[in-house]
Amino acid sequence: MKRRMSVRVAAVCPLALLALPLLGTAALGSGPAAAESYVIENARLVTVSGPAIEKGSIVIVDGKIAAVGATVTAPAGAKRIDGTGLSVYPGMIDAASRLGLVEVGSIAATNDASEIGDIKPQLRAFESFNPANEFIPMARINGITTAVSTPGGGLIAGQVVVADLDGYSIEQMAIRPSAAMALSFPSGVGGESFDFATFSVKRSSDSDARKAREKRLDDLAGLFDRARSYAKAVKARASDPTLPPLEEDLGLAALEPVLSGQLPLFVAANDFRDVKRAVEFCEKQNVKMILRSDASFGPFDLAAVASFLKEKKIAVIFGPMYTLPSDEDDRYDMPQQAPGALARAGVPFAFASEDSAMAKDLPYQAAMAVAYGGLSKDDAIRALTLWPATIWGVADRIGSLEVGKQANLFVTNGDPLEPRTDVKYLFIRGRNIPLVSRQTQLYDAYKSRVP
Amino acid sequence: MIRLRPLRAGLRLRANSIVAVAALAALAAPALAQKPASREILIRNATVMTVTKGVIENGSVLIRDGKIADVGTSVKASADATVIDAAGKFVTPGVIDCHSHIAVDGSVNEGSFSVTSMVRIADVIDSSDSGIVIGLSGGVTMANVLHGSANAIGGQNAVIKMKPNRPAGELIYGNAPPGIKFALGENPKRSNFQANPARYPRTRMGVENVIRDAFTRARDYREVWARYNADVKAGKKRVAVPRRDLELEPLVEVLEGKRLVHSHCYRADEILMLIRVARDFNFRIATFQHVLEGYKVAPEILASGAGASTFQDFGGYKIEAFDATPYNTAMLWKAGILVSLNSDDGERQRRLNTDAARAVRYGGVPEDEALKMITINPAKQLGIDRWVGSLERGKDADVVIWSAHPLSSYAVAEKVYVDGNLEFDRAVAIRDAEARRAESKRLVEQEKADKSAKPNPDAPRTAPAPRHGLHHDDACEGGGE
Repeated sequence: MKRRMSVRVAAVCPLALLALPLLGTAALGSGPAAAESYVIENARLVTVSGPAIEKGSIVIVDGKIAAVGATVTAPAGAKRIDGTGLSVYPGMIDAASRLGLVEVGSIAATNDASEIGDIKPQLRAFESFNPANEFIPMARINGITTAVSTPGGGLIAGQVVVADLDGYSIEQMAIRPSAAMALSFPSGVGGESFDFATFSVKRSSDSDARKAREKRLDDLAGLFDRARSYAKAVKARASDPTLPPLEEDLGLAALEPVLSGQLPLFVAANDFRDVKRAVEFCEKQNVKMILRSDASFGPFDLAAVASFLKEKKIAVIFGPMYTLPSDEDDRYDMPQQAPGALARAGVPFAFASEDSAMAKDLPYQAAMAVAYGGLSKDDAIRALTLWPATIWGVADRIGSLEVGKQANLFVTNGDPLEPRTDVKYLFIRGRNIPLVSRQTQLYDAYKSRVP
Repeated sequence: MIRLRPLRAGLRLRANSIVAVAALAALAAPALAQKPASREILIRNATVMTVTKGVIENGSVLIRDGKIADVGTSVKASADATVIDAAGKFVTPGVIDCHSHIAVDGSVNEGSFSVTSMVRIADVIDSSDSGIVIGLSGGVTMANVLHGSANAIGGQNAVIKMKPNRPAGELIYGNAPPGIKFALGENPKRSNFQANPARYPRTRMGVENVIRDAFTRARDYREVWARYNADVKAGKKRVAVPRRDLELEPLVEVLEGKRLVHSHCYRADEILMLIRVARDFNFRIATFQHVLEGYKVAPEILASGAGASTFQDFGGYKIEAFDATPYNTAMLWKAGILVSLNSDDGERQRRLNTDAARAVRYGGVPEDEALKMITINPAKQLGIDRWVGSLERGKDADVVIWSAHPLSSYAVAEKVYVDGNLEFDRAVAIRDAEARRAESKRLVEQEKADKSAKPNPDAPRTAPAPRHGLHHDDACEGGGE
């Protein structure tokens, strides 16, 4: 085991190892230095973890939240920001994103999210994350401070990275270099799909799709069995060096944390029939599961979907909310109903853009679940902050305005889910990030064109 | 493989199953009355945003015979008027989407030739497309339904009223002057699509040449007809009648100012290119569509007399959209250009109101001006502002009742009238959907119980039509829209 792990780190993170001496004491995920202290005074503090403080102050020291309350003590020399009439929120988290992975969607050369091949558990979004992605600053301007960037393509696409959206390298930005294994659950629901290989529409019946799905799941179960055997063999060899050496298999090795329960499967499934089958599969395999859904569960009562997910303790990542019902006979706002239904049932969920260029729209997507689906505004904010932090296992560091957490927060002149609201300041790990993007730079360059 | 839709979608698509036949019978009755119960509908106690004549608090809008009969604070209705108390609500004119591809039966691209001015969207309007209802649910009452952007010169447009499930002819708005789609850049170049066989053009030079060549031919064609008509008028005998050319006729109409040009474009250079071609042939461009780099050449667009219909805040998906900025709208507006916001997409269409809100945030467009960009401005661009686009006496009764300020994320269209008919009612839409589901469930149960029916779940089904309304600029059907 020890040997395997060390081999894996050396094989997969050569950059991290090389970078360590250069970065000095900077450990993984420490971020650029945040030398300055700040105090934002007389603002409305939406702590999320507790009730909002209508008029209070928040102190930022060494990149962390040092104090939150109606009356606080700021260190001498802290920069003062007058928060009168402004509100402070914890930074929003894009709970499934392509930020850092995709630049120009139509140009394959700039797409590092989707690798070819079907089974690729060894791939890590961490490895192709571009800190200079142009859409990161655009997302920040709307209050997004963290993204869960997710690879795509094939049955097992690889591992997702949880990254703060500020830093010179992914080593600095990552909070969790590997937070889950992305699995695109095979659908057992028939329908139409466009096959690029033959450039034609393919149709299948439900029972054909079901058969095909079960075949795929048999293969997947077989793969998991092999990975378990492999882990056993690695362990045996580690404790008994007289055993013959084992041929290293990066793919099987990467599945070990999933099968040992350290890493959840991030399972994309939409139709409720597929969701149920996915939960059943994960239960049988004894692996943790986070559901990834476009909120179109198919022709089922959302209350039934919600109570099932509640019973099975499955958290859901919803995205994008810019979705139409999968069935024309359904109510026109069916996908926007789902988050509210889950909130009422007490199922944890979070919002996701599932995009790079459109990641910035995350708060407005969440607003649709409020407008159409009866989700409370408070729950919408939770599903953008503390809930994704909890689901992704980083709530000890981000997700709320609490003393000791990273100072990932933003300051607005109103409701951040309203498109007319402006973000005035944004901090990531205590750094006051300039609210500049390619879009604002283009504005500045052309707004006074002469002649 | 890209998943398009499940097979079971839409009971209407399962015409050869027992369930579907029964369900169709059950659901055949239209959800909403086709005609208002009374000649008059009075919406009162609302914040009435007229768009052209200010905002009226505690105002009323009176609809009579499909037209707006009165707007104000002391509006008198007849005793039998249907009265709707809209206290706490906001009333606006219907949203007009200046670039849409909903309600089209089949592909929006006749992608064979680079000039397809002979084809007409009006011939393929499908009023059963669910995209119409989705649009209505966002307060949209009219759409400029355009041919796709696969061709430098695409097909003829259709300006429609959002009237679901009516005979197609009833949707087409007769007051609208005819228009035509042009397209510049990556899509007519087929940069992002498989073009088999390869097709000219492949460069922006080629796109310019295709358009210039077409208008050169159109000018010659007009000349041939002018000579013929002059000869006939002069009483000349034995004059050969020129052969009609359905490709060039619409372009002659463009030259004569009778047909509006709506040109898809992104980059500043191609915008200037089309302005040069238009100047050389002396025609006006009605709108530059998308026009994401319009802000770079705002003075030139203004001088050309063209309008701009843009995405408020959508870009980055291809290299010609990489310099998109949400400040584009404000910069074009400040330059004095007539600006509208469009969707190009069956989903985005229902949230054009919040797109307008973003124009306020990015560059400080005033709220009333932002609202114009989805109502009266597109009406002007389409040449129909005498009849629609604002709440004014005598105009078509295209009216939306919103639950909140229409520039708010939380605003939901509750009731939408088109020509005075209630075409969308949120409460009814929800109730009907629930009834459809209950009925579907009941029929499935009945089918299960009826052993003699021996239903075969795998019986071949009618292939469903491709889903419309989902397209955006480059989405699907190998097109580019």
